[in-house]
Amino acid sequence: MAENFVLEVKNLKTYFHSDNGLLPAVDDVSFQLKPGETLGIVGESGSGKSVTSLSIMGLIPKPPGEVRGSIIYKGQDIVQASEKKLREIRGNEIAMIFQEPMTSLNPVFTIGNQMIEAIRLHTSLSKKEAHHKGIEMLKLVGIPRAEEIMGEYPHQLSGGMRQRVMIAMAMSLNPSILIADEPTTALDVTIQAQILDLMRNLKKDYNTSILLITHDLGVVAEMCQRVVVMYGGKVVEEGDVRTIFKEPKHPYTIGLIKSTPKIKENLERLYSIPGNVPSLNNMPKGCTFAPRCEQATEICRNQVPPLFSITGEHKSRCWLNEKDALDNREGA
Amino acid sequence: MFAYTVRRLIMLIPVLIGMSILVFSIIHLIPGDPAKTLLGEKASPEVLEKMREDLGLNDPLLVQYKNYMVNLLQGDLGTSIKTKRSISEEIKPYLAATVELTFFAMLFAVIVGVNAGIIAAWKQNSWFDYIAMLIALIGVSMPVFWLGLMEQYIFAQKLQWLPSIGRDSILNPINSITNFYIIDTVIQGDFDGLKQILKHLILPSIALGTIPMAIIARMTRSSMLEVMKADYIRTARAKGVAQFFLVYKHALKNAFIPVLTVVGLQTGLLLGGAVLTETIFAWPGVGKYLYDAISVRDYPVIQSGILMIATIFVIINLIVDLLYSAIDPRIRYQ
Repeated sequence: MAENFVLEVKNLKTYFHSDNGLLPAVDDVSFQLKPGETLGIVGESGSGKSVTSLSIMGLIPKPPGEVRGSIIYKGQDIVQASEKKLREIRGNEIAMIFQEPMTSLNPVFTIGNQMIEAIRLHTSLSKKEAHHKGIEMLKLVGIPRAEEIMGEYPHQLSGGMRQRVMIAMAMSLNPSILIADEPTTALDVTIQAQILDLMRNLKKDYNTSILLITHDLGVVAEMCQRVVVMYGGKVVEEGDVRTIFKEPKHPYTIGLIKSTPKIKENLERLYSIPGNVPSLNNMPKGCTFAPRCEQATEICRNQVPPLFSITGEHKSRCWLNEKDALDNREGA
Repeated sequence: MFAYTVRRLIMLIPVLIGMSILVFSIIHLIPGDPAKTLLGEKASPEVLEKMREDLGLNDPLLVQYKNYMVNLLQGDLGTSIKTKRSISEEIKPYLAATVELTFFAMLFAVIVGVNAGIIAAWKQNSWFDYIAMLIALIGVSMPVFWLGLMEQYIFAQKLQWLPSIGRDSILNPINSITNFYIIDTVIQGDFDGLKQILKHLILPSIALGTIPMAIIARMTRSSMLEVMKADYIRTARAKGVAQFFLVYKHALKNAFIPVLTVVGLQTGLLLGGAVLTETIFAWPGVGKYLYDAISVRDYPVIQSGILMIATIFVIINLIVDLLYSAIDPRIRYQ
C-alpha cells in the first residue's frame, strides 16, 4: 500500500480482565485515517467505539485493561510506546474532545488556567504568550469576550460554550488528529449544528484529520467522508459515506439507517432494531449481531463472518455478503 | 465575599448568646453545691450561707446570668471560686499550651493523613494502599492513652530520645512573654530553648494527631478515588498532563472539600482540650484546666471554659465555610 495514513489501527484488541474472565471490548479492529479526512465510527453504546478511541490515546487503565495489536502513528507503533512518549503525543499531536462538556472541564480551575496548561505542556511559551494564544484560540472558536472568559470558571459557561472551549484547547497545539467522542450528543440541536460547523471549518484551516465517534447517522452524513460501523467490539461495515447510506450491506447498518427519521417519509412508527447489544461476557458464538438479525441463518449463529470486501473500500462482515464478495472477485 | 464574611460574623452574635444561655442553665442544673465543695462537708450552715451570698449563688438565676453577661462583654470571665484569680488571666497559658499542641498535632495529621490518602488512592489496591489503610484503621481504633504510654515507654524511657512530659525542661524553663513558647523562644533568639520546646511537642502531638490523621487519610483516599474517575481528569490526561500533576493539582483541589470539613471538626475537638493526652503528658492545657475545675465544681471556670470551646468551634466552622469558597468557585455565597 503506497497510500499515506496519519493513523493506522491494525488488529486492535482491547480486553478487560474481570471476575467473569477476559472481556473483549474491542475485538480485532482495523482501520486507517487519511490526512485531512473525517472518519466516522458509528455504533450503539457498548459497541466498543469509545474504547477504541481511548486505546488510541493510551488512556485505557492497565490493569484491568489490556491493549494488543498495533496503532501506527507517523510510522511508530504507539501501543508499545512509553508513558512519557505518549504524554508528548497526547494533546499535542492527537487531541481529544469528549461527550460531556458539562463535566469535561475541571470545575476548580479557570478556563485560562486550563488553556494555558494545555499550551505550555507542549510548547516553551511563557505564561503571558500562552495566555495570548489562549485568547486567540477562544476567539477562533467563536467565543465572545474571550479575555474575560479566560478568568472565568467552567460553571459560568453554557454547555455549547464549554464544548467550544474544549475544541479551542484541543486545537491550540494544531494536532494532526482530533478525536471527537460524541462531541454534540449532550448539546441542543441548534448548538450541535454550530459545533459541527466549527469543527468542519477548523479541519479545513488546519488540515487536521478527525476521528468522529458518534451514534448519530445525521452527524456522520454531514461531517464524514468515510464510515466504520462497529457492533459488539467488531467492525461490521466500512466504506465511503455515500455507499454506506445508499447501499448498506450489513443488516445492522441497514437497521441503523432505517431507524433514523427522514423528512420525506411519514411513518406512524419508526423502525427499531429488536433486542440489545450483547454484553461483553455473553458474546454470541457466531456473528455478534445474529441474535437480533431478522435474516440470520444457521451459519450466522455458529461461525464468525470475516470482513468481506464488496467494492473497493466497501467491506461488510455478514455471511449474506459472501456471494457479493465472491461475485466481485470473479468479476475482477 | 467580604460582605458574606461580615454577615457571617454578625450572625455569630445570636449563636453565641444562645450558647451562653445554654451553658449557664446546664451548669446550674447540675447537682452539687459549690459552697460546700469549697468549704468542705463539715462547714457550719452559717459559713456556707455567707459563702453562697458572696458568690452570688442566692440571687435569682436571671440576675446571675445578667451579671455574668455584663462581665463577659467587658472581657471578664469572672473569678475562679477555687483560686480567687481572674479566669481570663488564669486561662491564657493553658489556652496557649493547647493551641500550640493542637497546631502541631493537626500539622502532623494533615501532612501524613492527606499524603497517605492520596498515595493510597493513586496506587489503589497496592501494598501501600493496604498498609496505609490498615494503619489508619488501627489509628482510629487505638485508645489515645495507650498510644501515649507506649510512646513514652519506647521513645522516652527505653531509647531516651525525647522528653516524656511537660512543655519545657524543668531545669531550663522558658522565659515566657506571650505564653506561646515557640513564639517566645523565637523572638528571644533562644534556639536551644526552641529545640527543647519542639522536642517536648513531638510525642504528645503524635499521640493527639493519630486519630485525626487516620480519619483524614481515609477521607482523602475515598474522596480522591471518587474524583479520579471524573471526566475532567480524563480530559487532563488527554492533554498530556503527567500523573503527579493529575493527582496533586487536578484531583486534589477537587477532593479537598470533604477533607477540609474533617480537618475543621477535628481541630475544634482538639482545641477543646484533650484531657487524656494532656494528663498523660502532663501538658498544662485547657483540657486539664477544665477537668480540675469540674472536679471541684468551680462554676465560673466551667462556664467560661465551655463557652470558650463552643466559640472556638463556631469560629472554626466559619473559617472552614469561607475556605470552601476559596477552593471551589461553585460555592459562592450570596
